[in-house]
Amino acid sequence: MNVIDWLQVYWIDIVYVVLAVIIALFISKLLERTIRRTLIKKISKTAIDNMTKLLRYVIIILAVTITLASLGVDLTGALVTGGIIGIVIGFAAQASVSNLISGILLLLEKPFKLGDFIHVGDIVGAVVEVGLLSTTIVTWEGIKVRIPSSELFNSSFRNYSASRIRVVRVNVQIPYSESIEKAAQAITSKLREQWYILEEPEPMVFAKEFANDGIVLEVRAWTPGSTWFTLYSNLPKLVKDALDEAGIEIPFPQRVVWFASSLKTEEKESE
Amino acid sequence: MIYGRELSNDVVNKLREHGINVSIEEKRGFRIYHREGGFPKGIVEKIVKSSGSLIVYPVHSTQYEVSSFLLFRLKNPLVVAPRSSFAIYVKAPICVGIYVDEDGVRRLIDFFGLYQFKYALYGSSASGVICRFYRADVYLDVPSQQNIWEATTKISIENSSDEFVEVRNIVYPLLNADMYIDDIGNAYIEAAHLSIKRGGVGTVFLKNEAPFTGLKRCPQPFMGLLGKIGKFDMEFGL
Repeated sequence: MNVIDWLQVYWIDIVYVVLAVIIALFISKLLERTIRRTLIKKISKTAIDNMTKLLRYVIIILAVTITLASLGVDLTGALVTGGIIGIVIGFAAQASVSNLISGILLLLEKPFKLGDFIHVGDIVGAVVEVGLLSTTIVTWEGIKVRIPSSELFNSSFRNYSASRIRVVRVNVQIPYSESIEKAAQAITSKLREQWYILEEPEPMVFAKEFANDGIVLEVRAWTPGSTWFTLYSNLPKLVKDALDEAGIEIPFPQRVVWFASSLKTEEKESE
Repeated sequence: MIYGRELSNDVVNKLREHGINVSIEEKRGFRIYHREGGFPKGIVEKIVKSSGSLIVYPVHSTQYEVSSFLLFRLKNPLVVAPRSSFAIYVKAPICVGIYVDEDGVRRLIDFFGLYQFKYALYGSSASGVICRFYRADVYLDVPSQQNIWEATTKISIENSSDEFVEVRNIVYPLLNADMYIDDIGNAYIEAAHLSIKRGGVGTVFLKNEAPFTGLKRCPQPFMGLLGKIGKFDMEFGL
C-alpha cells in the first residue's frame, strides 16, 4: 500500500487525531490559565511554566492515546515500551521525582511564601523562588542557596515571617547597691519610647539571678515580625542608654595585676 | 484648622507651634520641600517638579506595612445593656499629609504625625492582629474641640445579645477607611458600627458613610496598595 492509498483509507482517523490534539491543546490552555491565576503569587514564574508544560504534554499524550485506542489501533506494544521506558526513567530520576512530589506537597501545605525569612539547617534567608524541584533563598550575606524540595519537606525549618510578633531578650547586670525597680522602670520607659516596640504585650524587665558581679536582669520586648531585626540590633543599646541615663553602672569583673618584677619605663626628656 | 487648605504661612506657623518645621524653596522652576520634626523622625527633603498647589489633607496614622487596623482602647469602658443600641464619638489619631495637586491629579509627597506611632497585638501571638494602638476618650455628644492630630468618628454600638457586655476595645479597620473634612478644616473619619452577638463577640463594620452630613471626602493615598477592608471580627473579646 503506497502513501496515497494509505491516506485514502485512514484520512478520517488522521482528522480525528488532529482534532483530538486541538481539543487537548484547548483544554490545556484553559487549565494553564487557571493554574497561572491561582499560583502566580505563590510560586515562581519558572515553576508555573514547567508545571503547565508538563500538564500540556500529559494531556496531549492522553488525548492521542485515547483517540487511537478508540479507532481500534493496537497500542499494547507502545504501552509496554512506554512502561519499560517509564521504569528506567523512574530509577534514573528517583531524586528528581522525590523532589517533584515533595515540591507539589509543599505547594499544597504552603509552609512559607515568597519573601518569607526561613531557617533550614544552618541557612537563614529570604525565599526568592519557590519551584517544584527546589526553593531558592537569599541569605543575609546575599548568597543564593538552592534547597531541594525533598530536603525542605523532610526537615524541620523555622519560618520567621509567619509570626505576628516576636520577642527579643537580653540580659544585663546591675550592681547589688542599685534598686531593681529603678533599673526596671528606666529600661521599660526607654523601650516604650520606640515605635517598633509593642505597647501590648508590654516590655518586661525582671531579676533573673544573683551573679558574682551583680543582679542579672532579663529584658524582654515584643515587636511586629517585620521589625524584628530593628529591635534585635537596637535592644542592647537601648538598655545601656536607659541605665546610663538613670545613673546605673553596669558592673564588670575587674582584675588587679601584680608583676613579678618591677617594670622599667623610659622617660623622654622634653626639649 | 489646616485640612483642605493650601500649605500657606498660616499652616506652616501652625505646624511650627507643634515643633515641626516645613518649608518650600523655589529654585529654577523646582520646589524643594523640606520637613524637620514630627514622626517619622529625620529630615525629609523632596524636589517637586510641578507648578500645582500644595494642599494639606489628613492621612491615616499608621505604617501600612505594619498594620491596617486601629485599636481604640477606651479610657472609660462602656457597659452595654442587653438588646440595646446607642452611638458614641471617638477621636482617631491622624497624620498631616502634604499633597501636590496638578489639575486635579494629586500625589502625597509627605505625611507625618506629632508623636511616634505605637502598636499593640490584639489577640494571641499565633493568630492575633497587630493594630495601631490609641487610648481614646469616649464622647457621648459630638466633641466640640478638635486638634490637628485627631479625626472624629461616630461608632454606633448594638448589643443584640441577652447579656450585659463591657466594651474596652474597638478594632477599627483603618486602612482605606474614608477621611473627610469640614468647611473649617477639621478632620473626620468614616463612621463604623459595632455589632455585639451572643457570647460577647463583636464585629466592627465600616458604614461607607461620613460620621456627619455636609463633609467633603479626602483623597486616599493607600487605596491603590491594598483593597478596602470593610469589617473586623473581634473574636478575642471586646
